[in-house]
Amino acid sequence: MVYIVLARKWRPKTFEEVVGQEHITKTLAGAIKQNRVSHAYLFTGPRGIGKTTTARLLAKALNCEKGPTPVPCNKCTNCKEIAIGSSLDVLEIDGASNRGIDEVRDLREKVKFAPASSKYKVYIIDEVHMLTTEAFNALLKTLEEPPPHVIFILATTAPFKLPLTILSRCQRFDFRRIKSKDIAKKLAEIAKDEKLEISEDITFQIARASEGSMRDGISVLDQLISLGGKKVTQGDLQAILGIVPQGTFFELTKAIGENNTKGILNIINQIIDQGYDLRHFATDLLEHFRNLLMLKINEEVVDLPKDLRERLKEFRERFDQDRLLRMIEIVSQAREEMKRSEKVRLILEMAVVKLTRLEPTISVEEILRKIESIEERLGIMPAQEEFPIEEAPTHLRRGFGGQEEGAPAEKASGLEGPLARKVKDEASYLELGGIKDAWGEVIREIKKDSAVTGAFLMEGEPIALKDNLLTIGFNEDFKFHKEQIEEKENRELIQKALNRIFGKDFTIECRLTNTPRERPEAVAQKGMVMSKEEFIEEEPVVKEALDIFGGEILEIKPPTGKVIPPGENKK
Amino acid sequence: MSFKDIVGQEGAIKILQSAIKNNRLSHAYLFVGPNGVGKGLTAKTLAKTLNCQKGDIDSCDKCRNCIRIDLDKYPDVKVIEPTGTSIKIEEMRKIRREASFKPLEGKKKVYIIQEASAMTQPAANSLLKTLEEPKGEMLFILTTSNIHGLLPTVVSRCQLVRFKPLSVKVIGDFLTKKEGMAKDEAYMASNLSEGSLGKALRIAGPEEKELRDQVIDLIAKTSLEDIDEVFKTARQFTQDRDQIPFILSIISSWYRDLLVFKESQDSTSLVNIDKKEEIQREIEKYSKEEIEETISLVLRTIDYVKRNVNPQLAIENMLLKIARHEYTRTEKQRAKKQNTNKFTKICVQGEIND
Repeated sequence: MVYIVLARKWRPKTFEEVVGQEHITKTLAGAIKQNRVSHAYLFTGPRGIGKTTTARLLAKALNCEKGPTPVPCNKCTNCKEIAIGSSLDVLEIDGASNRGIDEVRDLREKVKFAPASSKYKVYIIDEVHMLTTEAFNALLKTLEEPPPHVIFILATTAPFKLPLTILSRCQRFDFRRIKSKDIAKKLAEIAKDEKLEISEDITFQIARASEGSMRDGISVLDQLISLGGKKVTQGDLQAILGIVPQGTFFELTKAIGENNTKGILNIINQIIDQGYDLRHFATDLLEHFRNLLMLKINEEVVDLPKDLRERLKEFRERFDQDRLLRMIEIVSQAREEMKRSEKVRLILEMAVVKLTRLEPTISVEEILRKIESIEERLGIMPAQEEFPIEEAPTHLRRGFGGQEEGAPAEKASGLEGPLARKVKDEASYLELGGIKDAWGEVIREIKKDSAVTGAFLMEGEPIALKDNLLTIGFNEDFKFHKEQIEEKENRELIQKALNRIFGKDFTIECRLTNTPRERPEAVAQKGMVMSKEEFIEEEPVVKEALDIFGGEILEIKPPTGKVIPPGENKK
Repeated sequence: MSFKDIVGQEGAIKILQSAIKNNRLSHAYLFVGPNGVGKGLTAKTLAKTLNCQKGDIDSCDKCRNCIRIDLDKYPDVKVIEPTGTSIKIEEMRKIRREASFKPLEGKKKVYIIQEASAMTQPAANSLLKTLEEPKGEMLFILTTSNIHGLLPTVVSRCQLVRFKPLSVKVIGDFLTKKEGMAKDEAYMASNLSEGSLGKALRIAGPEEKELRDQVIDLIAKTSLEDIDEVFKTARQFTQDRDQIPFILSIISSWYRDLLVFKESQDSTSLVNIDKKEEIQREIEKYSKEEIEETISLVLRTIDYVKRNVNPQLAIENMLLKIARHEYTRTEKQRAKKQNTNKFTKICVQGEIND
């Protein structure tokens, strides 16, 4: 007698038995109940998850003698005929073999005839993505308006290969990958029926290896049974799946941690001698490192049985995140190369040797922190004052960090200096008084960008604030300064500085007044009066020039070329 | 040939034999493993076993059926191989037509598709339905060395049987005992064969061993001092086009040995184990990084040659770079000795871009 593989033997016979596709089976059952069955369906999804099965179930449900019913009886002639594939009214067409236009023409001819013994004529076209373009086009009209007794079910793993005109004529159902948990449950059920002793751990491993495909899972189970034992051991499973035992990965990780090159090469040698697929091994090694990394970041996402997880934890402290990331990088690069090359052994050996060569690295945060502390010791202003670190580095640091959210990131996100921040904190809403108080700060801030502009602004003072319109008053004697401030680029500089300090955009207006005024610098620096010459002299560039040439300041020229004789601004 | 004569694949054979014994033989198997490890042989032996007049779990190798299968004259066993580089859909159509008939000799129809990843897309797709639910007494055996070249839908319909690369010992023993080869020749071939008996048989022999000695000699000697020599070596390497992959794998194995030995000081896993002294001498000259770089270089060259880059150019380029390593290093040493910076460097540069 011919042996029927388990995957065929256990093909679901009712909608309920279809695992993990409730969103589809329920909809279909509902449609049948309410007599709203469409004339064209498209079933898509990866291999081995129930497309063809569901198509046959739908055919049965419609053509069952008691039907159309969501629960086909599986006993009547129609049901039985459909199950063994001999029904005259359910035609299962292999789209990949009958892909030409002639086959479709033939189908169109036959569609007209009424069903022989049931209510509907159901055409199941499997692997429909292989039809030629002409064949698809020839099908369009029939698919849109078939005779009332005809129902099309198209099934494919590659819906993107279908023309849009076909897609739009079908009700589309996307089948999901089945969860490992659900597959494992089903496998346990089958194993019990086949009188095979199998542990939960092993069913789970099979389920994971089958990547969401029920057929793949059942195939492995089938092979395990055919080995003949009554009980499935871990060894059997490894032989069938060709996976390297987990222990090897731990040994390898240990050797890497100890930079024991000799040990590592020995392990690789063993793996080769035992005939494991090295490409497969590289993939599993990658997964192992990934688990190790995830253990450091977020334990939740580590998909491992508990005992293995505990064992992995021993290694958690031995590698820091940066090293793990680099290990992953090296292995995944090697894996890519192995795919193309025949020299798999050599590539793998090179990669593992490189793994031992990774010295413990210093993280970016560590370096930043060190720089900061050095700066503090040297008495330099903290880094962010001089080099405002903007958005991008913050992200970067977050990306690397994880555990290092706190201080540096926060500091980096602000743009202003410590003094200005005080201003901002205290005057969360702004009044003229607030601006006046901080005017010295404003001028200093501007001087950083342009000393000349700062110098001009020194002669003005804020006199009015309405909404965002800041009026700066200049004494009539300083008309020139006012005009300079009104220059576009100077005005922009001031606006920028104000924004940096107060975190707000201002519009600036200048006005001449006759009130004599106090110097803002004087206000800010408590009576330390500074003449223009003194001020300019303090500028590093000028100072250096004076030092080099040993001269003194005779007159100060603004960029426009006009001459201001010294002393004019003295009272 | 029967199962018991196939070396090194006990695991795979156990799976198949116990399936026969327990009457749980699937209708489709996929044999996965490197070339030349016995996939084809096992497939044929399975076909023989199923059609053998004795009806045991191994073929008798003597009955009419077994002999006829060996000679490809048995009507129920068909071997499909790539014609040119691919297996086309016509081939599959033929199978499907035949598949609807009962086996002529009344036992089992077996279709062996060799190197199934060579099936064109339409061919592979057209097989899907038959592969899932064949009618009657049928067995499909697909073999492939590259499972990634197959449609996942095909893989999922077959039971996977993995074939291991053979260990150095298995191949070495086979060559000495069954082929009567000298031991060092046998092990040299075995080490270079990457676990493939087929390949080992191709490269085993006194000539090949001599060639290896020559290649290693030349490589170790390469130096920019005598640039004519470099080009001469390249010419020598490319003389026989069929030998190029072999020569390149000798070179890669040589540098691999240097790396392994330098890292581990362990000679047991060396490929060119008989050259231990030379290896010891050579590693003094190189830093680990230099060896790694050279290995990447050789691997790249292998890739280039595989992708039809002019082999002479590729190999000249490789040799010049190896020579440059040598040159810069000796220059450095000399510079150190003379304590001067006034040396000029000749850098030969040239990349073959993909």
